[in-house]
Amino acid sequence: MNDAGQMPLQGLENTFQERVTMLALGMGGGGSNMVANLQRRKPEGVLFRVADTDEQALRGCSVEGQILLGRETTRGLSTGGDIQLGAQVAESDLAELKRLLETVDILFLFAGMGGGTGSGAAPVIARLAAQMNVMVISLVSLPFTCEGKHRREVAEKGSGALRKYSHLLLPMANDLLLQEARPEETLVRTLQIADDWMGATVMAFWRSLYWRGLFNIDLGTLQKTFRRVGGKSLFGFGLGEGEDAAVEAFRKLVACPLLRSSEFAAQADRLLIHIVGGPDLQTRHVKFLADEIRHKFGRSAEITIGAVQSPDFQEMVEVCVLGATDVDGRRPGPLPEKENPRPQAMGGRIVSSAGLAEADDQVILSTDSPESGIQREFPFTSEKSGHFEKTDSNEFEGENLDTPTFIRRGIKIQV
Amino acid sequence: MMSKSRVIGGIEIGTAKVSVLIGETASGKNLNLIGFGQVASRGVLKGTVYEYRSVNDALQEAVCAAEKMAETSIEGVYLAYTGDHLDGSYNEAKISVSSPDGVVSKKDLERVEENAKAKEVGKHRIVVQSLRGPYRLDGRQVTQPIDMTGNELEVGVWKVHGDGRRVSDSIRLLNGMNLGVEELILSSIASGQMVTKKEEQQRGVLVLDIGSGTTDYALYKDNYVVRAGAIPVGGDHLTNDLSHGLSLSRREAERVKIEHGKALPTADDKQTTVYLEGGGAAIGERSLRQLAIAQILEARVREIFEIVQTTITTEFLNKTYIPSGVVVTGGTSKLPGLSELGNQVLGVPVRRGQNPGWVADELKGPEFSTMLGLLCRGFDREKESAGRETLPGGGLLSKIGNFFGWRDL
Repeated sequence: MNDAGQMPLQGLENTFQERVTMLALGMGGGGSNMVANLQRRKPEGVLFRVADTDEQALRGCSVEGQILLGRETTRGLSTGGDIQLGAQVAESDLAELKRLLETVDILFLFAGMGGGTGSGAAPVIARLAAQMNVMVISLVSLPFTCEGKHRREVAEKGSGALRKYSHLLLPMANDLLLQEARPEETLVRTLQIADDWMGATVMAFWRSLYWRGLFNIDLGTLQKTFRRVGGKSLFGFGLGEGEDAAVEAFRKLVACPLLRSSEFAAQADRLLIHIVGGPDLQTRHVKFLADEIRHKFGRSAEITIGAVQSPDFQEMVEVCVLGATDVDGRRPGPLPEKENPRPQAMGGRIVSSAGLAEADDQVILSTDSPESGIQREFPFTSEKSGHFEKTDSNEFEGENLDTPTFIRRGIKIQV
Repeated sequence: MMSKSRVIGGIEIGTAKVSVLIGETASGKNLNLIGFGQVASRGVLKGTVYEYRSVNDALQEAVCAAEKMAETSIEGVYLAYTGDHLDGSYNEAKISVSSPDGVVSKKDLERVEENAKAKEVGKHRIVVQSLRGPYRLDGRQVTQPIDMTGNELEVGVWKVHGDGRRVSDSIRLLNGMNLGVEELILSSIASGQMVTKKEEQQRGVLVLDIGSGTTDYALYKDNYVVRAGAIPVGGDHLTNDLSHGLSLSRREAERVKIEHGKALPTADDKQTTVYLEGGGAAIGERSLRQLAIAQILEARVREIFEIVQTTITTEFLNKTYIPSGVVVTGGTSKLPGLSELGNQVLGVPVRRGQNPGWVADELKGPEFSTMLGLLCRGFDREKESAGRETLPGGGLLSKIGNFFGWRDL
């Protein structure tokens, strides 16, 4: 698994004997921006790649490792929002993507949902990775409600398909960003908040594996926590400062808007807690956070804790919670390329595509698939984030009425 | 002649509460309210039963409480109905008057109504209530066309239909407790009978029953209900929005809504701070900005009115069609500023509904309109059948069941 020629592993401060190789792959324009944001945080030993059909967009991206998708099909142009085309393009470049994933242990797959490349190609790559036993952590943004019904439907389809092959899917609704942004901020800056959230998440993962700490997490533990594809996830983080930084971090975590989003579960079956603090971080702080988080997000959950110290976190505590559930997300969409295969465009690669479809079933079976699992019912509790989760969808003129109106309409609430 | 009394129950399985009101009628001459039971609801969302067992427990509790107070048992149930799965469809039929001399007979009325109703509502759907509009004889609206002369007789029917399983679930809940359902009545039609006067129904009025789970509507014109249905948004959504926006638990959000909620922000809201526990004296007490509360609620309530407007359309929702405006009722209608906001959005006068004067003080609140309306409907039916020995038996479910041939009912 060590193909050192491809991996920039120099200067890596890995606390483990084995080398864990992480690849951050951005799909499409949105995904590329997220990867660029992550790269600025300089996590050592992470390999960065961006893939897009749009040659011009790639040229404008600061990430060096670039893959132009669909040389044969889209010829350097964008997919024009066509999700089918996005999937096709990925299928046609499967061999190259497979080579890219050969040495990878963890794939961070970034994509903006709603467009063609992100929504269509990302699920294909996730499927390939899951099939190659790579742990897939997908981080996607969901379009603003005001972007219209079409983009939302494409996004839902894309993220549904992606969830099927992801060990952890972290969808971030752009609508929520408006609540986080200051009123005077521009839309571009607002969108960067999503990139920041995603960047911070990957950094937490990265730190948990690469930094020496009070409690260490290894790849095996991660794989065990996120052993199953297709489940609904839980995600949130909080940063506390000052004397009671741990208490403050927990308070911020509970208030994290992502936890209240209907995209996420409220309770997890398996929780990963990662804590970063300064040299003053003590075991009792870790214990406090672990107890509170267990109480709040998963009373009977399996819990894995990682905690590290860093001089940069003097009087600061950052806590990040990632949860996996055995509950499926609502209405996972089918892979677009499967509903409507267009063999003529895929040329001579049909065989490999068919071969993948077969292997695909094996992946599903071997990973405790949601389809085969029994859906566990969550009780009606007052703390449940998706209050209307069990009800029929509530669509009216292309909007989901169960989502708070102020979020959908981008009305900024000064809390 | 000995007076024959009958005990009827008005039952509403709501999203927030399960309520049972018991009335006693004597030969259809008067109606006495003799028992009341109400418990917090669980497992009902957007007006639809999602957790059968929890709802069953709550229902049992409420019925027991009401029967204990009444010191008697319910003999027949009038069940309020709503739910996010309801839908409506309108269909008209036109026939030629059958008799050669052009005199309209009872048969003609039945035939044209049958024709208007004949349109299928779809697989697995069941008609909850069928609302016939006024007859038109040669294009002229007539209340009672029998013995009048004309060529063409027309009528329109608005059918409210729902998911068959969901509807039968509700009826089964009651049958499981040995209670027969006499009639399903749309919540908005039950409450509408209470909060509007006959003259308003004649002139034209829209009733909006904004409950916890749904916003139910009934549009009256010329003393007919011409449109009725449910919009799957209600007070529960207001609570949910507050819980999201202010990072509160649902219980806290519910309290904030009741104690500090308003549908329209006012000038001093910006400076006003309210406290979760009331006084603000406790250490670590959460403080909330009044403005944030009002903004969140305004967005949602405004949207509810906008959906009402889109659903009912400006063809009906205008001052000419409904000179008596809009009457709001249901628990959520108590939110301060709601009528003003409704007026802003809809462009017609909006007022809060009131139950009639004869209603006891404890039942004056808008949240009781539906149940009172149910009993009044029951009372009317008792009056109609007072002459007869027994009511047409079997209960509603057996009729529906036979009609659809469902074995599992």
